[in-house]
Formats: sequence, structure tokens, C-alpha cells
Amino acid sequence: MVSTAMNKRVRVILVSALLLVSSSIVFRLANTKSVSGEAPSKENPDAKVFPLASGIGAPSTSHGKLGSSSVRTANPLKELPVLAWSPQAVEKAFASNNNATRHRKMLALLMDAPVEHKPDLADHVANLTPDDDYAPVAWLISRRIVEGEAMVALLQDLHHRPADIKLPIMAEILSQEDHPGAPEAERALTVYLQVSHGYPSNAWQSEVEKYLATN
Amino acid sequence: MFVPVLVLRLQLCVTIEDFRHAIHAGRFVRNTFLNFSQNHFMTKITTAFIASAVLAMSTTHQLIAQDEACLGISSNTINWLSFNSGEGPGGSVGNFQSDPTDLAFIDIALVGGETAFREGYPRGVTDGVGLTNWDIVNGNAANGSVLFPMTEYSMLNENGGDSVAMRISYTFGNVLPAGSLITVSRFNWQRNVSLRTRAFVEAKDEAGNLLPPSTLVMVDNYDFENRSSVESLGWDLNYDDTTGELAHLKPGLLPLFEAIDTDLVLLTNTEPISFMEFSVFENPTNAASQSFPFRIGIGKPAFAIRDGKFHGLIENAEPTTFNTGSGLLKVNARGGFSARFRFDGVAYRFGGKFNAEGNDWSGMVTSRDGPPVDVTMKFGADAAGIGLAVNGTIEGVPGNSTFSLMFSPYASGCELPLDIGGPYTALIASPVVPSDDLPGGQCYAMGVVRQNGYAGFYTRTAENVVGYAGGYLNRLNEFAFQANSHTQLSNKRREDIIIGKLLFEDIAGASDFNGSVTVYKTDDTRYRNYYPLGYQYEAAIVGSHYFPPMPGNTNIGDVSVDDLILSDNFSLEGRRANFTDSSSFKRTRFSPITGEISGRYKNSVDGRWRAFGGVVFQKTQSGGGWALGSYLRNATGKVGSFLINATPQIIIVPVRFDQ
Repeated sequence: MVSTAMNKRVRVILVSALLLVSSSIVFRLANTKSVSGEAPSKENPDAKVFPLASGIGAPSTSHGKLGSSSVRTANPLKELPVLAWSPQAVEKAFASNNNATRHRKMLALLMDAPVEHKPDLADHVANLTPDDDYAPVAWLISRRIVEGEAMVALLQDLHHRPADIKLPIMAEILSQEDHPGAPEAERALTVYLQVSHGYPSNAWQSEVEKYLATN
Repeated sequence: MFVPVLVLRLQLCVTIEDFRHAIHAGRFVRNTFLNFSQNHFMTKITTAFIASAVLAMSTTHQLIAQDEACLGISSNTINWLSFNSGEGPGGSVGNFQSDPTDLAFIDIALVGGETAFREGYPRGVTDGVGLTNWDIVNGNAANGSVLFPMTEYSMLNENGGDSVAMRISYTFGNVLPAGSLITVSRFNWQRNVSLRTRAFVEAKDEAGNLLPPSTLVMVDNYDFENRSSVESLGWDLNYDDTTGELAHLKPGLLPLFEAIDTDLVLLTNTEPISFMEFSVFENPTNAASQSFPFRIGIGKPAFAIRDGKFHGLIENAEPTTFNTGSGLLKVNARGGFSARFRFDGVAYRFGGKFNAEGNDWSGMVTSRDGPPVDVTMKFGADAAGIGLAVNGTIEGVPGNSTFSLMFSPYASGCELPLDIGGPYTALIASPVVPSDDLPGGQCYAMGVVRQNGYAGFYTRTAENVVGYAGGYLNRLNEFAFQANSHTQLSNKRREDIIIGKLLFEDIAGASDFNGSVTVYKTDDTRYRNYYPLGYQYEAAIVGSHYFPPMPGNTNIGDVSVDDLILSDNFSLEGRRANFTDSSSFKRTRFSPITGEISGRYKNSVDGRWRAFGGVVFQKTQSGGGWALGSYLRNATGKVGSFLINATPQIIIVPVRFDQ
């Protein structure tokens, strides 16, 4: 009897472990695809998927980081066009007929703009950037590359993004100390996940992964 | 010959926008001190006094803007940029604005020797009281008359002399659109010194390029006294569109007079102007070495391009889930814009530049998620006719709809009313006649209104699907609420939309905002749907301020879920709150952050555990929500109600907002 019970227990443990490993592999594979931009979005089958939390996670250079284990492979800002900010350059970007690249131009101008012009440009970047090219904006948010009202503009827009984009970023925000987006990120994740971890905490990331894997 | 000894910069920061331009103001104060300190003729006392006056000016006009001006722009044909004078010697307090959040700067450079401001100047005045029949500028007409709010300038030559000179420049935060009006009057002649007031006018376009003098066109020359003699032409002021000079029309007639002022000349601009300078190179002084005052007034069409944020609903006479949505627009001072529209559940993100002449834009907009749509937009009046909006149409496969995106004063720095900011919970009423295909229970929302007027609400429908509505309150404290709710799996994507307009107002004992929304569930067969036929119903929505309970508050009151009673205390541990589970409830939790209660209950019919969710509604010491029924999928779906009884309720201890 004892032996049978133990066998059952062992079987349960083995099955559980197998499930955990499988789900982990599946998740990692999905994540790898996300980084490469090949996997379809859960929101839209034709869309590129934005990297999940582990892909967004900042390396140790990120201030206020609690210690995300993952490292993003490349800085998406490096892929932006090189533009020097000036009022004329901004007007030129607006006057351009190419809506497909306007958000990238505006983002490049945001990076070069004097601090007093960043909030306005951040508003435009937030409005213009499509979901399938959100990685540079996520980088700005998670690395706190913009501050103040510029950061507020990006954070406000973040809530309008599909869950598979915004939830990992919010989890990343909540893993950091004193990120300006933490209160609203906590509010949003509390609604989605119906759990509370407070912040800073790395616990949100696994909850987000579970949520996205099952919804 | 005038030697530029002193450059005195009076920067009249003109609206509540100063909050956002504090750095600019600080730079000005610093420059003021530096400029004055470089001039050994000015005492430190004078320096400190003028700097203080400027600071007072800034503070005072902020108060004016907050208390009076942020209600919305005028419906008048012309918005006159007005300088409002205040009390106090040696300077004026006031502002320079055309609408509550408009922005412009007046810079004054004294270039006529050892001169200073004349006591009490510059100051705001009105001209033309009792004028009639000026239909073209009858925007400020009262009883058929016209008032021209103007700024009156006068200087003091402390070392004596017959004349002063100065440069007065206007830098417009929002480009002065073509068709604006510039009035100038009271240019003076003094025979004893044979001097008359004269000035050259220069204007620059949006890119900062100098425009030709012919950009300004004289519309009329008004004769205050209805003079008809040949000599009366001496009163006429002229604008020379070749040289750009403003001066008496007939200087040869002036020796006939001891001293006279000109009447009023009215100019208009044919191109948008970002900067205008009046270089007054001759301005006679009186025996007290005070220059004779002259006046400049500027007005612009009320509903022209301006910077700011605009937000509103996309509506249709026969609304469906396909032809409704919302739009958010960010415009800069030169008409460049970016937009985020959601139409038929599809996000359209696009940008461009408004046409400065027509104040409009049109184009085809594409999205990866839906068909292209044709969008037209034009600045104009809002539905009430007294506020600024961007109105337009959006046409495409989903339908042809219209929108009116209203200007948000709070996003431009006007102060949000104190009783609006902070967290909220909201409840949407159940359908009047619930059925298996039209679930009962209450959808609900949890959100925050920020000081910049941005409202963000997460919603949960009666099918336990999360959505989000975000945007800016308009001048009427209305919020265009549009939440798209859908699952994240592509094979389960559902386009549930909750859309309507909310009004933030305190109704005692009832709500802190109210409105009406329509809850749509698409019947699109591409999506696996709990309710394959789709449905829509209109319902009232009410909101309540939500004050998170302090740790130590333990009583949430009696909770009734699908005929089961959960009467239990909960405990707060840090930011968590937990109920004690019972035989009928489990995983019950209350979120102090959002005011949401959720959990599982054992259904009395089939004995299975079902989800329920809701929010507390502190305004009425109650709450509500939904509880999933017994046979949800495929057959007789049912959602039941969830009630929180009136008393006792969470003990309210106001705490800090997280804003």
C-alpha cells in the first residue's frame, strides 16, 4: 500500500515536472520567435509579436532594476534613422506623405530633441507607432530613456495596446524601483491578473506569462 | 541716432500655459536681471521691482486663466488677443491671450537711449467704443458696436529728449492664421518738435522666414469722428505695403495741427504668421519726457488651427459595433498632427499637417488590421457652438460616420476642477430585459482621472472580459468613453465594445459621473463567441469616487452573489485583502487598488464553482457586478447579478491619490 501510494506520488511529481518543463520550452520557443519577429500575434495572426517580458527585461545597466535574469539582445533604437532635431525637421516629418515611416522619424527626432520639446514629440510617437513596431517605444519605457511628461505620454498610450504587448512591459515596470508607470501598471495588472504583488517585484512577470499562455 | 544701450525684455507669459513654461519664465527672470545689471543707469531697486512685477504678472494671469478663462474659447468671429492691465506703479499685471490656453509673448526692446517703461504702461485698453457697421469684425459686437481690446504702449525717456524708440515683437505660440486682424491707432504728431510716431512692421512665416510687407493688407481706416474735410486726412493712418511702414497718411498736412492722433487702421494677413515686430523708430515725448501712447491690437479667427489635444467619439445615426469608435488627436502650433482612431475595433494611427488656409486635412488612412478609410478633418466649433473642436468624417467599408473631437483645456495646462481628479469605480446597468442571449448583471469599470485631464478606465464585461477606455476630458468635463474588450487569443478574438459619453458632475447621493453607454457584442462569425447572434443594449453608467481603504478597515459589508450571501470580514495585509473562504465561496478577494471584488461561488443549481466580479460603489455605500450562471457555453447562457448591500460598507478614510 505504501509502495503504491509512493508510486502514485512519484508519478504525480513526474507528470507535473514534465508539464512544467514542456510549458517552459513552449514558452521559450514562443519567446524566441517573438524576438525574431516571426511569430504571429495572438491579437492578430498576421502581426509580428512583441517580445514578452523576458525580452524586454533590461540588463544590469538599467537603474532601479531588481535583477531580471534575461537580457535583450539588441537596442531597437539603433535601427532608427539618424535625424537632427529642429522645428523644421519636425514639420518636414509631418508634411511627409509616408505614414508608414513617420513614427520612426518622429522617434528619431524625439531622441535628439531638447528636453522641453520631448513631451510633444512623445505624444506624437505614442499616437503614430503601430503595434507591430512597438519595440523601440517599449525600450524607451522600460529603460526610462525619456522622463517627465514625455514618459507620461508613452505610458498613457501603453494602456491602449493589446495585452500581449502591454502586460509584459507593465510587469517589467513593476520589477523596477520607482518607475513612474508603476502605480498605473499595478492597477492594470491587478485587473487582468486578479493578483497583487505590489512593487517592486519580479513576481508579476511569471503571472503575466501564465495569463498570456492561457488567454 | 539711437544707440542700443539697453535691451529690456518684457515677456508677458500669457496663459495657464505658464505652468508648462516655467523654465521659459525662469530664463526670462534671469535674463531680466542680467540685462538690467549690465546697465549702470538702472538701480538694483528698479531691477528688483520690475522682476517682481513680472513674476506677479505671471502669477496673476495664471489665476485668471484658471478661474475664468479655461471654460472654453469664445464663439465670436474674432478672438481678440487682449492685454489686461492691473494695478501698481511701474508696471502692469495682465495677460495676452485669445483663448484660455492660447499662448503668445510680447517682447519689448528699448532702443532709444536711456529709456524705461512709463509708469502704468504697457496696459490693456479698448478702442472703438460705440463703433458700428464694422461687420467684418463684429465678433466682439455688443449692441451693434465694436470693441477692440488693445495694448497701449508708452515709454519714458529719463534723460530727457523729444522722442523714444522701441521694438515691440509678438511671438505666437499658435500661429496667427491667415485672415487674422491687426489694428493700430493713436500714432501721434507734435508740431513743436516736428516729430510723429512711425513704425516699420515685419512678419515671419511658420518656418521663421521673413515675409514681404505685402503679406499685410489694409482692410479699412476708421474715422472715429466722421471727419470729412481734407484736413481730416491728417488723422488717417496708413500702411505702406511696399516698405512696411505705418505712419500718418498725409504728413504734409500735419503742420496744420498743433498735435493730433491718428484714427484706427485695420490690417489683415494673407499668410500665417508666427512672429511680428513693430519697430517704432520715432515716437514724440511730452514735457515730462513721456512718449505719447499708441495702441496695437491683434485678433484671430476663433476656430483656427491651434496646438493641443482633442478627443471624442466616432458616431453614426444608426450605430453598430462596426461604425462607431473614438478619436484622439494631438496638434502642434503649426498644424502638424498625429492621430489615433479606433473605428470598427481597428486602430488607425496616422499623421499629417493641417492646411493653414482652410484649417483642414483629408486623406486615406490604412491599418494592418482593417480596410483603408477616408478621413476628413477641419477645425471648427463644437456641438455647443462655443468651444473649439476638430470635426470630420470617416468613411470606409465599416460605414460612413462623423466625429467631433473636442479640445481638452486640461491637457493644455488648465487646472482640472478639484473634485474630478482621482480614482473611480463605475457601474453599467443591466439590460432592461435580460435573456439567455442578453446577459444580465452589471459590467463595471475602474479608473483614474489625472490632473492633465486624462481619464483611463479598465472595464470588465459581464462575460469577464477586460477592456480599456482612455482619453481626455473636454471643457464641459465630458469624457468620450470607448472600451474595446476582447480576449487575446486570435482564435477567440471578440470585439466587445462599450461606448458612450460620460459627464463628470456631482449628483448628491447618486454619482460623481453619469452618462449613457451602448454595450455591443459583435455577431461576426469569425470570432468564437459566447453569444453568436451578437447583441447591443444601451444602459446608464454611473461612477463614484473611490477612496482606497486604509489598512485596518476590515468590513466590506454584506455581499450577495446569485442568491448566496457572503457576509464575511476581510483582512488587509499590506495592499492585499482577503476574505475568509466558506463552503459557498472561495478565492474571494478585494483589491484596495481598484475597488474590485472577485472570486468564485458554488452554483446552487449544478454545484459547480463559477466566477463573480464587481466593484464597490462608495457614493451610495453599495456596489454591483455580475456572477456567471450555470450553463454558460453553447446553450442557455446566464449571467446573474452581484450586489453589495448598503450597510455596513467599507469605512472610508480618504488617503492620498496615487497621482
